[in-house]
Amino acid sequence: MFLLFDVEPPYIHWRRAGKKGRFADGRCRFDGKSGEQLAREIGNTGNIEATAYLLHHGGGIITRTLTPITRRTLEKIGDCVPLLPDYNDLTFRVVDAWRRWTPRIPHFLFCNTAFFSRLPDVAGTYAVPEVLRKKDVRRFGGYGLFHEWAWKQVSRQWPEQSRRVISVYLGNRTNIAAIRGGRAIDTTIGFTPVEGIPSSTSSGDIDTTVVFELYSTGMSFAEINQLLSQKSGFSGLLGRKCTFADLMAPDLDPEVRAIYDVYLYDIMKYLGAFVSLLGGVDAIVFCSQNLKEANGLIGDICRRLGFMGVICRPQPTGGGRGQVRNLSAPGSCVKIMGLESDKWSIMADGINRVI
Amino acid sequence: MNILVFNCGSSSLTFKVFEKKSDEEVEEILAGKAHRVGVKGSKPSSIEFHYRGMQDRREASIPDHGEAAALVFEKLNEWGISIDCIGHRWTQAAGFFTTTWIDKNVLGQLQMLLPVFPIHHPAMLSVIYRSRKTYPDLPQYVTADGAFHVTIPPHAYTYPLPREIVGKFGFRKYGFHGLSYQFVIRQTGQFLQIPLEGLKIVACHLGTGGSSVVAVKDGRSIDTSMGYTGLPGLVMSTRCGDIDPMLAIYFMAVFDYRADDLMELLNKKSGLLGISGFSSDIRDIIQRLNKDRQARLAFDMYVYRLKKYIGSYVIALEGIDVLVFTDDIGLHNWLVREKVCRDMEWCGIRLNARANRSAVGNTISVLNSDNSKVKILSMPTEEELVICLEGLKLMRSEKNVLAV
Repeated sequence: MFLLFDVEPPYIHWRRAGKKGRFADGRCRFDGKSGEQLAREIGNTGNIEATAYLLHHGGGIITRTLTPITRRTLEKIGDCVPLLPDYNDLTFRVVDAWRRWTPRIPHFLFCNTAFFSRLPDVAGTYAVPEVLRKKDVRRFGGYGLFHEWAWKQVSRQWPEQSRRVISVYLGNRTNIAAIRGGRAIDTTIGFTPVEGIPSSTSSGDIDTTVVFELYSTGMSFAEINQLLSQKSGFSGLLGRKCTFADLMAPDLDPEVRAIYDVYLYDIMKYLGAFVSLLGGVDAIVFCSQNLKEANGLIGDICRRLGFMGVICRPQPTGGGRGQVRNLSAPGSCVKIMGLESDKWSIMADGINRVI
Repeated sequence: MNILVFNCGSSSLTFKVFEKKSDEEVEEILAGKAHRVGVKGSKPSSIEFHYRGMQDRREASIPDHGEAAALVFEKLNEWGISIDCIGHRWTQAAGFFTTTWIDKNVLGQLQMLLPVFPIHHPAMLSVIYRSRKTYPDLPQYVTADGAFHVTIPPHAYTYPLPREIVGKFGFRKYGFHGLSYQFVIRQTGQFLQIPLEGLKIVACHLGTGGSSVVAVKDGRSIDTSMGYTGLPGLVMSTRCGDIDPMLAIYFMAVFDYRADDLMELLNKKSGLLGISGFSSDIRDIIQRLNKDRQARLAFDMYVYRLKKYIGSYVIALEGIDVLVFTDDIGLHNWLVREKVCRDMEWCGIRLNARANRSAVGNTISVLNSDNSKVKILSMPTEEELVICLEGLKLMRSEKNVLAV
């Protein structure tokens, strides 16, 4: 059995994942609890063989998606705290406490930015003066856990078609990665997850002048920050809560339909940009926590790629994490793969392969 | 009847005088340009005039665009060229309007837009003021640069911000370089002798100041890379183009940058200048490509961003028939075109390397190889002519109103 941790300040989330896919989830606040207190919250921890943690932002410090945790790794996690203080500090404290409590089993760290830590400069650099660039300003990307895993699935299934791959994560934080020969060359998430494609609550790409204009009306930084990351996106446009699932529902009313159109168009623009950078594309892989839900969207995306010779046959698929579906019809110039998974399954799969 | 047209660039002022031949035809009789307006540097500012075979080019102190306009008026006086009407290009940012006569009311509206587009607005206004002062009795009009982009559909112009904020401030994509696109798109159809209906065109206006890309279907703009202002989009000479909007907050909140200073950095010290650290001029950067890592990065990022946009628009259009390069860099820089067109066979773009290198800037050149599905053209743009013709249209519509 594995024990997996993620953080969402002020909470930590965990999952006990058993061999046959059986699991138990939970969450609690972690206000400097000791390992012993944590063990009581989690309950049955007797037969845990390995533990893994998800670090949200490793910057240039953690450069591998999966690392065994040593004392040195723990120090590095500490060094990452300023990158994303709330999240990383909590991760650091959980790793520290739980390692002390269960020192004999292996501990692993997954890092969500590592896959993008060696983006080529041409993609990782912002075109601003050096005085600003040197303030640790780079495209950091995100969801590397998903994109790296998705690329591996493609390379296993279709080794011949894994040279130029575009990986699309569909969900409340939709984002896309361009991958050449297994290495990420560009992605939609930038310095923060606000850049790129709009989400349920964040704006995606906008003219930065907007920030200055809002500031000139007397809004504070905290308010503008919240406006762009928490009050915009689908929900901002609709004027009430609107999630990915709402956009995927059948028979959208015109207002929601208009938001779907914005969202779909932004995805298409990035797909075009990345096809262009790769000089063509061999495979597109869609990864979602619920493939059935995203079925219509994947169909819409592929239809618009029809002029490039993409022929897709989206299938209504049932559950089952780790599902790999070939969505390309015979004769399609580009292979299309559908993957259904979530972070827990990918983490469990990852440690299963190394222990 | 003579019409004087002013076209403000960020560090230049282009001007032309057209003589009206008929209701729809004009002939260019004078052309000129003020260079390095308001630029401090090693090279001095200068102004040049071309008039009926005569040429005059000299260095002059030109601290701002108003002074440049004053030098133009002086020369017109000296050569005895009379002016009946003055047209101005307006790179407006908020609210669409088409070509309009300038009166107190319009001037007030233009002034209100001042903070939004910090590079162009003060320059354009100073030219308008100087013109009104020198020729208080002449009719003057502005032609909106963004009107061409009025056809961009909501899914492309919407910023996913809270609806009440959008409603209050009017935040959305507007786009710029519309006059230039209007001209080159029409030229493209005429040159290739095919109707614009059904044609998919991606056009790149690559200027020494601002640059943008447009996607055109059936002759109409469906998307463009600039936005609410001229800041987003391509890597430009001194503008950063697309960045994470949260960076602005990060710099101000964590590093105590003042909003004005940061805005100035992003608009005037970024882009090619910001990355290379030594020049905003892509020709300087190309000269140092193999000697200077930052010069190489600046050039590569310039090409890279442009390639991303072309790819985006090919997919937005679901295909491409014609790729057009225009304005100074688009016309005169074969290396940029060569790099941009590399590895673009996926959408049918194949450059003829020799034709590309030997293309000259003052005429339309065909740059694609014979087996290219996509036509590739470079062509000079004529924003001033479009401004002039828009003025004639305005006069005609007025005549019609009077006739009624």
